[in-house]
Amino acid sequence: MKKVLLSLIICVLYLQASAQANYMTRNGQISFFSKTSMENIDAVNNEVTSIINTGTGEIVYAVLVKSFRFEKALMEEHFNENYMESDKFPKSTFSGKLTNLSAIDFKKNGSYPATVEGDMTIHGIKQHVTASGTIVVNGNKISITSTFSIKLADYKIEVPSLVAEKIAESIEVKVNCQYEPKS
Amino acid sequence: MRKVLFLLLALGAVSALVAYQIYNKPHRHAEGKPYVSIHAHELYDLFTADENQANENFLDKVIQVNGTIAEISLNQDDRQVILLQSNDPLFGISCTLEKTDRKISKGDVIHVKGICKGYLSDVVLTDCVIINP
Repeated sequence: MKKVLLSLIICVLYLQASAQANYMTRNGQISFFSKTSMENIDAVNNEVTSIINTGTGEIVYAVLVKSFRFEKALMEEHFNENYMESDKFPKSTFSGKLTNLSAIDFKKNGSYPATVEGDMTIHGIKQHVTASGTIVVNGNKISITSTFSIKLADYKIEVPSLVAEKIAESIEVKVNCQYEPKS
Repeated sequence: MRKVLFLLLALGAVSALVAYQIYNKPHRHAEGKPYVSIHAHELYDLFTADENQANENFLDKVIQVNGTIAEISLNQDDRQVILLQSNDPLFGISCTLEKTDRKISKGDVIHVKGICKGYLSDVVLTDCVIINP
């Protein structure tokens, strides 16, 4: 009887632990920057949805291509219609795992270097990628920042030769998300 | 000869102006008559039932949604984001407001007009304005 009770308690504790392990944001930020000698282009998206499971290290990002905001409306139009084809491919996603989960103590405040590995899908093309960043734990809040670059050619994003000098072949992407426990 | 030169100059000036205006054309706002006026529950159900069809119907359109505020938060640009309740307890219609000029609170029933950007785990509208609190 005692054994049954004990296993029940363990079971409940485990369930609670896994229930608390999911952290989410729907207002995360992803920005990108294209730098050439002709023109600098940047865009920001403040509607990033991301979930991280601190128990398993699984992490998911999803972003709507149409909600990237550029300084110039015309650039935004070209980005959506000519390069990203956002009517056909409305979202970009990343789904992966922390590769150094054991080095991060989500119960202890602090700043931890982190690496992820997984599948990035942009413009309908899936690529296996790795990236590094920083995880900051502060009470029951987690923030994740990361900077990495992607090559347009990897995702079959074609730039007409006429404007090729204005758009970098490799784009710098910045991620900045603040998570709260998922209720 | 002078006339031709003048005409050419005028034409050049006009096309430069037009090009400049296209280059600097303003961002879209959620203005004018909405494409559709719809309840938050219904909009969410349409996207969860058939995302592709809903994208075809609503993507990039100005739509008006009425519903109950489940949550209010601030994004990293300090803009208010309202989550309207759906039939799902966790997800709904996420509306990023263009400006914060009204006092709103959780539980309020509101009408929001915004541009539909698609569906993640929530349906996302941006550049939203509140029509009536």
